[in-house]
Amino acid sequence: MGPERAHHEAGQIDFLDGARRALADPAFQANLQRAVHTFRQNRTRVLATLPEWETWREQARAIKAHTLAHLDHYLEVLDRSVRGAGGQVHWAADAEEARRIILDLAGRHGVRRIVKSKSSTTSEIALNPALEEEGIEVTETDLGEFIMQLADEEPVHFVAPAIHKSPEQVATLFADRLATPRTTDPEALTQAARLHLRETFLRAEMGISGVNFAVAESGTIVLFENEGNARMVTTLPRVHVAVMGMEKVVPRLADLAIMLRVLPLSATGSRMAEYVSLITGPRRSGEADGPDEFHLVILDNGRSRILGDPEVREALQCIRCGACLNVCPVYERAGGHAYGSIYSGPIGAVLTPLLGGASGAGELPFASTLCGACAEVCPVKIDIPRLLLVMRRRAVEGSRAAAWMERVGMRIYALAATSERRWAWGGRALRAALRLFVRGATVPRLPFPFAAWTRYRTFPAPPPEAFRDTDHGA
Amino acid sequence: MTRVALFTTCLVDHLFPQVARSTIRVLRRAGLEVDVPRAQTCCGQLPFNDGFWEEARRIARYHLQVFADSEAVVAPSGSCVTMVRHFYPTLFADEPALQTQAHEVAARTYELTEFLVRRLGVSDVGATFRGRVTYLASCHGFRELHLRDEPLRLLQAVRALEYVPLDGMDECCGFGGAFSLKMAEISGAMLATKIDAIRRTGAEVVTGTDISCLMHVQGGLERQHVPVRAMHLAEILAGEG
Amino acid sequence: MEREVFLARVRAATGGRPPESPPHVQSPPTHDRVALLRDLADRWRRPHAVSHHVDAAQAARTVTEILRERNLRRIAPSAHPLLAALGIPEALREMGAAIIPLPTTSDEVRTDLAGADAGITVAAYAVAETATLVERATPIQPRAVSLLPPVHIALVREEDVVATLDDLFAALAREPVESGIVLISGPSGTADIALQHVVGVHGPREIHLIVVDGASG
Repeated sequence: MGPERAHHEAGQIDFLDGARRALADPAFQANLQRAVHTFRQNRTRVLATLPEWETWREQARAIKAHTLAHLDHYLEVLDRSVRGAGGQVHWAADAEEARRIILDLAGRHGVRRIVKSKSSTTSEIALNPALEEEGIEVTETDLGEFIMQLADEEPVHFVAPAIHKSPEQVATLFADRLATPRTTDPEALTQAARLHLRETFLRAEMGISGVNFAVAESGTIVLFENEGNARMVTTLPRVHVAVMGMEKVVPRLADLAIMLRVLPLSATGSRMAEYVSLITGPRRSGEADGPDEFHLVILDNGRSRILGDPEVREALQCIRCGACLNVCPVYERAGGHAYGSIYSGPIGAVLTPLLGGASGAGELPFASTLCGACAEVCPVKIDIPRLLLVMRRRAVEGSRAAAWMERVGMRIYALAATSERRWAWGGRALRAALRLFVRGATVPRLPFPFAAWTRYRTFPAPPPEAFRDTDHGA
Repeated sequence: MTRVALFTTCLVDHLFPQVARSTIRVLRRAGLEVDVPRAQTCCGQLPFNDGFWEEARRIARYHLQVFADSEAVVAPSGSCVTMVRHFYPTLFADEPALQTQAHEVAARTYELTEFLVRRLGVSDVGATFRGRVTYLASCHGFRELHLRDEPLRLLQAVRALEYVPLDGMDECCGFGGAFSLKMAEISGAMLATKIDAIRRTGAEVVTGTDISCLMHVQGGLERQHVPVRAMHLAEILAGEG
Repeated sequence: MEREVFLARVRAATGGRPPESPPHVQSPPTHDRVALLRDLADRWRRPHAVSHHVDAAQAARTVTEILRERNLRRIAPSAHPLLAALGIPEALREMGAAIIPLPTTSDEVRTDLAGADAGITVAAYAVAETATLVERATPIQPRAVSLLPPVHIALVREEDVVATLDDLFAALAREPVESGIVLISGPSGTADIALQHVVGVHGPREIHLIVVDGASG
């Protein structure tokens, strides 16, 4: 299952439809559930050995909040530092402009082959289809992303893109698309990918990466990974283009210490990523490798609007660790595709509509029970449930036509709940209505618009009288 | 402290009166006099969670008036207490006078187990209940009010009760208010996981601190013909030999 | 988009107040030296990540033993002076290894380093807190030496072992920042297929950290 790769910005999001398809696929459910439970358990196990955790979270939050509060200043510093190190900085107001900048760079260098390391931001701007349209061969080199590209699917999780695939599914994919001997051994499959991608790395003229953090004072971009593909992408091709959302800045190198502590742990439960690359401009004179040119594309694409909106600004603190996905019972069942954007799970349900996502994005904040598990694990302490509530309020204020019945219902409810008499009467009316549907000891079927309740549960038969109508059990 | 006001909560008031009676019995046994302000209705969480803040604000204003003079307010629901404590101040962010009042009422409003264990220092209410019981944590109580040990300590002190822990005790059951209707398929899938866990305990009764979650779980148990009964913790704590 | 137009939008959103100093980052307590080296070794030790702690005089033998046991013949040492000071190039020649000359162009990196069995580097630092070694790209130590060959051997002077990540970044911030710095904490790995951990996906499948006492190179 899973949707084809598509332009996110042009897409139409239908969360419930996507969730239904995920729920109907038992293999998908089992694989995803196993993955998020493993990440969750690893994280919990390592955290138990780290009494400093809460202090680190607070420090990480404080650094991100401070940087956002002065983002104009730190972007200026970053710009100066990157140029000082010999890099070039490009400013993109939106996805269209970011794509054009990168296409121009590719054109200017006569690029035919591009290798990419995992980057949610390039997915946000739908970069790959734009490059492919120009006849450029684009290869995703993170193993999970590579699998997704072969399958023509969107990543299901922004840290572990192909985690819903079984080895059998990957085996079929590799046999069909890479013409390798069929095997279901993850070790052998990984070796097949290594061989294929090593050739691709050596031939590519341009490498495109995302950015986990950008250090203003030194002009350094930081990439976290375990595989080494981001090192390849930033070491071998002549041109390196790094694409970052403008909120990825931190002021100082010293701030990386805290980010290194919180990010890998939150993502997979590892104490450290195997590789953390700190890249400051292109190769210097005398160096044998590293790119000749380094380009940093800084993307707004709705972020300045979020930044100027104090009620939701904290959503920009997100460092894309995926911890909130791993603990979210809704994500665990609906899967990442249902969110219709690379940013899935609880933070995606906030970010996608905030970034001005596709139609249907306004429903995403309702895809939560507000259980609060996300807020509990977030390494930068984003109050995601509060943001979901705010986004719900905005969806309602945005007068969705479909919600008229709900609106009337809520008005009536508020009217009833602000008068003792109306409340008592309303309760009596409700119980009387319910009695019509009692069969045996319960209500097995409720009518529209409550029928969905009784698809999975019975409803209790009402008591003869409300508590308020009794002598209070004295 | 000698007097408390019972905040019945809407579901208990209209559909589960036995929970209110049990709550009163437990509080009285702890030596308190219990008032039940007649004018009370609901905390407004339903419209609030669904994005209808103006409607929620109207209800919240009303609730603050009803309980303005109560020395302490006790509710058999972590969710409704969370609404008053954490979200009333948010609702009145632009109305300083009401926000102050919200903070005052919030500081005097307690969830039942929180009140017994933290405020009164009571973790054995002298109850007896025969049976094998498992417990599910409701999210608001667990994460917003940080009620981790309190309900379990009370439960484990009950005479004759055999407590069996539930796998994934703190994972959401999938109720989520209007979520249970709007996203019924996902809610149903979460419920199925919870029911499997309950079934594996071999318990006769599943209990918790929020009747909303328990109503959803009870409905699921019945739909799947699982012979386990859902009971509010107050009902167990009110049990006598 | 013009930088000034872009920044003006951001400034409108933040209000453009000049920043006070950023929040203080607090360092965990520093360990004593012995505990620190033990922590580094303990945390480093995992399948496919081996740690050694030797005197300067034994460093070359440790390296050749690793190579011999695995029958690795084509070796790419960096031109870091510490390797020469420890007699490593000499020891490699004695064992009959084919030494791949230091590449000076990216074409040489692609053709020569890609065929090496092992790369040998000197790490600028090692961090005990997370068992991480830190490599700087320089003309005498290209990035690909620790990336393309399937086995990576990194030597670090005992005095370059620091306790915490805070110590590391404080040290890095004191010096000019190289174009490429990489923090390495284990072999190249992935769990992208069914969560099964596999090493050697793109980079080395095995990595050795040799902490060297008494090396003043």
